[in-house]
Amino acid sequence: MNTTTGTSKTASAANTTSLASSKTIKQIGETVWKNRTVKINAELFTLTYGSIVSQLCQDYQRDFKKVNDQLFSMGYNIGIRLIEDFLARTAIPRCDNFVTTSEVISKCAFKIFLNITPHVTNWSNTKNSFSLIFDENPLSDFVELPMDASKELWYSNILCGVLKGALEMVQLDCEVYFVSDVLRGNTQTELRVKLNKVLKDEMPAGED
Amino acid sequence: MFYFTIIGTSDNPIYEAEFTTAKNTFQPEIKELNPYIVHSTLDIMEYLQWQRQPQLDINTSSGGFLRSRHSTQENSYLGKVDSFYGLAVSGFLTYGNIKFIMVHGNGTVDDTVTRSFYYEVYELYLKTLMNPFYKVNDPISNSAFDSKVRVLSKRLFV
Amino acid sequence: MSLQFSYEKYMNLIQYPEHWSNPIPHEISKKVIYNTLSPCICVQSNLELDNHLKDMYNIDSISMLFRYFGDYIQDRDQIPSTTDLKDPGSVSSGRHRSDSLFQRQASECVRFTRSLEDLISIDSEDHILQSTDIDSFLSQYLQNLEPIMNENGTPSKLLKHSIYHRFFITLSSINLSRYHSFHHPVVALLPLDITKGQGYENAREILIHFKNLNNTLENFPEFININDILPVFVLCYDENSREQWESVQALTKSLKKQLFVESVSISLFTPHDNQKSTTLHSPITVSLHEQVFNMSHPTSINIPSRLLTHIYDTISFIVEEMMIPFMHRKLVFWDETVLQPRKSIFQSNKFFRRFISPKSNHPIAHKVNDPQDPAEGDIMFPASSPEFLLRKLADWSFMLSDFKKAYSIYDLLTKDFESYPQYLAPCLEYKTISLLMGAQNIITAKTIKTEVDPLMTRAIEQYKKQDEKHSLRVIHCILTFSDLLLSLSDTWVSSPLAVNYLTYIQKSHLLGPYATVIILERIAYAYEICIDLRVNDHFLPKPDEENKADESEAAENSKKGENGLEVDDMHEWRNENKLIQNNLRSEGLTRFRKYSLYQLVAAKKWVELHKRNQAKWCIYHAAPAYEKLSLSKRPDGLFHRLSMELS
Repeated sequence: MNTTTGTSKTASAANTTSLASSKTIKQIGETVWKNRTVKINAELFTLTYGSIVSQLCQDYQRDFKKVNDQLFSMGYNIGIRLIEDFLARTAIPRCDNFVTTSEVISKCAFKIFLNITPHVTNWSNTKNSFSLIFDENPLSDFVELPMDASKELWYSNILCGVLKGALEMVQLDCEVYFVSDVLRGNTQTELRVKLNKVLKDEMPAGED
Repeated sequence: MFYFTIIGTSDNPIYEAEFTTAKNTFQPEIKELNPYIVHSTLDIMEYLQWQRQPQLDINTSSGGFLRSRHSTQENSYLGKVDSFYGLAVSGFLTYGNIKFIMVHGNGTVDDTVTRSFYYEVYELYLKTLMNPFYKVNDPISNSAFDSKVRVLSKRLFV
Repeated sequence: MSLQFSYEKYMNLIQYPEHWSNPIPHEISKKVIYNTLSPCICVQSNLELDNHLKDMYNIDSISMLFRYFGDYIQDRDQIPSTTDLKDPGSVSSGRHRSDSLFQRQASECVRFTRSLEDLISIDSEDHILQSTDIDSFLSQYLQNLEPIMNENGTPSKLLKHSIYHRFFITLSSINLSRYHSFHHPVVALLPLDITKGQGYENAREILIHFKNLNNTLENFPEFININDILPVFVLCYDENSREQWESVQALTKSLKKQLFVESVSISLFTPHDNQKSTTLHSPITVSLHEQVFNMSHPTSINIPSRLLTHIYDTISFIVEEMMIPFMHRKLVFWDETVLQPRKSIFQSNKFFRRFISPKSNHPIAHKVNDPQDPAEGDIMFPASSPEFLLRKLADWSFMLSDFKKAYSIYDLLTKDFESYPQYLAPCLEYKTISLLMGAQNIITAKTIKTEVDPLMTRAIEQYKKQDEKHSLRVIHCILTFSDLLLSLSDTWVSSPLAVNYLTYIQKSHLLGPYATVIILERIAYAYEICIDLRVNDHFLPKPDEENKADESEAAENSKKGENGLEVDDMHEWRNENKLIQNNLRSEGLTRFRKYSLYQLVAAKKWVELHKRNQAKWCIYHAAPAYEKLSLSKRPDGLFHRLSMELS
C-alpha cells in the first residue's frame, strides 16, 4: 500500500479535454498516480505526520484547539503551493461548477497525493457545500487518540488547511472543516467543504 | 493457564494478561508471584540476548553481539527460557529490546503454538508502537489490543 | 583484638550482634564442612571423676567439659580475647592465626564426643535424623533469634549465612556410620582422678575395659576396630599438691612402660577461689538432640580462665604430639599393607578383581545372596576388610588435609563398590568433596562441567537409589556439594549448578517448612554471587547509594539554580523519550533479579511462619531490584503487600 506526496514531475502534455464526465477525471487521476508520481513508504509518511501532530500537542501543552489551528495553517501553506504542482501535472482545465471541483478533489487530487478516493456526498440544496467521506485515511493509520485529545483534536486537520489553501488559489473562498472522525469514535470520517464565494474580482489576468 | 506480559526496556510491564479457563486457573499463590517470576526471567533473557554466536567467536574479539544480526535462523522467539517450580517460562525478544514473556502454568512450552502466538502479538504490538501518541515503554491500555491478544490466546489451549 | 572474628563467633553469631555487619569470611563454607569431618576424640567416662567435677564446677562429666573445647582448637575461642593472660604457658598470643584453611596445619579442628559405649548404644544407624526434628529445632532457634533481631535492626547477610550453616551442621549426622569412618573416634581419652587416689591399677582396669569393648558389648559394630583408636590417659590432679604432682609424673612413666599408653596431665582440680572465671559458650558441632537440649536448658559453665588456657594447651599437645603422629603411622601402615598390593597387581584389572572381590574374602559380605540385587541385602564390610581399610585410609588422609591422596583412593574404591550402592554413594560423595577441597585453584569452567558435575550427579543418583529413610543424607550431600561449588572462584559457572541441586531439594519436599525457606535463601545467595568474570566493575544496586546519588545531584542542580544564568547554558537539549540503559556492560551477566525473586519468596514464607524479622530482612535485600519498578508499587502486589505488612 503506497501513498504519494507531490513531486516536481510536471505534465508534458497539456490535458485539454473537457471535464464533462467524472470518468475522465478519474482517468486523469489514475494516470498521474501510475506514471508521474514518485512513491514513498506509507509507514514513513504516516509516522512523519504522526510525529508532527504529537510534537505539536506537546509544544502547545495539549491545548488541542491551538494544535488544530496550527495544523490548519501548516496545511494552508502546503495547499497554496501544492495546487500549482497539481495543475502543472494534471493540466486540468478550469472547473465549470462546484460539483466538478468536488470530483476533481476526490478522484484526482486525493488519488494523486494520497492514493485514496473519498466519497463526495451530502450536497447542500444550493450545491455550494459538500462532504468528503474518508473510508481510509493514510494520515491516521495506527493512530489511537489519547483520552484527553479525543474530544478536541482533529488529527487530520492539515487536510482542511491544504484544501482551503489550494481552493483559495483558484479563487474559491471556502470553509473547510472536519465534522466527524473515526479516531474520535465516530462512525465515519467526514470533512465538510463549504463555498463562501468565488473571488472573481481578485482574479489575476490571464488565468481565466 | 498462561500469564503473558510485555516488558519494556526498563523492566516495567507494559501489558499483562492472564489466560485462563474455568478448569485451568493459577493458584492464588502463583498468581501473585507471576509478575516477579517474569521479572526474574529477564536475567536469562538478557543473557540470551547478548550471548555471542559461537561461530562468530573467531572474528570478534570483544563484546557480545545481538543474536539477530548474524544469525540466519529465527532469533526473536527464544522458546522455553526458564522454569520455576513446575512452571515453564517462554520468551520472545523484539528488535527494539521489548521482551514478551509468558508463564506456562502447565509446565511445558508447545513451540509451534507459542511461536505463532508471539509473532501475532508482535504484529499487534508493532501497530501500537506506530501510534504517534504511544511512547515506547508506556503501558498499553488500549482495549482493542487487549481483546485481540485474548482472541489470539485461545489457540494456546489446544 | 576484641574484634577478632573467629569461626566460633561466626557459628554462634546469634550471640554476637556486634559482629553482624562483618563481611562473610573467606572460605567459610569449606571451614564448616572441614570441621564437620574433623577427627573425633571420644572421652570415656570415669564415675568418680565425674562426680568430683559436678561438685567443683557443676559439670556433669568430663566428656561434657571437653565438648566445649572442640572445633578449631587453634582459635582458642573459649578464651575471651580481651582477657589479659599472663600465664607463661599460654601460647595463644604467639600462635599464628590464619584465615585460610590451607595455610593451617593439618587437623586444627577436632571434635569431642561422648564415650564409645554411648556412641554405640545411642547413635546406631537406626537412629536417624528426621526432618521434623530439624524443623522444630530451627523453629526454636529462630524464635530465640527474633527478639535479638528486633534490637539490632540492620539486616545482616552474615547472620543469614550463619543461620544457614547452623542448619547445615544440624543436618550433619555424627552417627557412627558403616559406610565411612569420619565419625569413628580416632583417639579415646581415658580420664583418671588423681585427687581421689586413682592410680595404676585403676588405669589398667580402665584400659582393659576399653580394649575389650568389642567383646563385652553385645552390639559392638564390626566396622569399628578398637585397635585403630589411640587410647590416651588424662590425669587430673591438683596443682597445689606436690604429692599429687609427683604421683602424676610417676604414673605417666609407668603407664608408658607397662601399658604402652601415653598420658597427659591436667590440673583440673586446682582450687580457684580468687581466680577470674570465664563462662563457656556452647560448642558448635554437636548432634541435633544436644542442640535442642542446650537451647531448652541453658546452662552456663564457669571455669577459671587459667584452666582454660591449660586445657587448650593440653588438647593441642594431644593432637599434635599424639593424634597426628598416630594417624600418620596408621596411614603408612595401611598404605603398605593394603594400598600398595592393590595398586601393583590388580589395578584396573577387572578379571583379577573378580577373584579378590569381597564375597570371596569376607564372610560378612557373603550376606549378599543375590549379587544382582545387592540393595536388598544388608551388607557390611568389617573394619578389617581391605575395602574398609582403604576407605579409612582415604578418610584419614582427608582429615589430615591430604585431599589429593584421599581423592585417588576414593577413586580406586568407586570401582570396588560398584555393586554396593550404599557404599558407593558416600564414596562418590567424598571423592567429589576431596576433589573440590583440594584442587580448588586448578578447577576450571571446563572441569566443572566435564568432571565435577557428572561426579556429583552420579553420587546423588546413587543416594537416590537408597532407602527413603536415608533421604536426609541426599540432602546433606547436595548441600555440601552446593556449598563447595559456591566457594569456587568462577561462580558464573558453578552457581547455576548449585542452584540446580538446591532446586532438586526444594522439589523433593523432604524438608519441613523452616528448612525449606532456608534453602530458598541459599538459592538466592547462589544467584547473588552468580556474576560473570568479565563484569569487574559491576555492583549491585543498593537503595541507599542510589538515593544519595539522586540527592547530591538535586543539590548540585539547586546550587546551579542559585547562580541563575548557568543553568540553561549548561543543559543540553534532552530527549525525554530516550531509552536509558544503565548497566549495559553487566546486562545478562548477573542474576540479581533471580536473587530478588528468591528473597521475595523467602520473605513470603517467613511471614507465613511468623518470623517477621527474617521476612523483613529478605524484603530489605529484595528491595533494590523492585523499588524502582511500578510493579512493586501496586497496592495488591506481593512486594508492596509484604513491605506494608512488615513495616
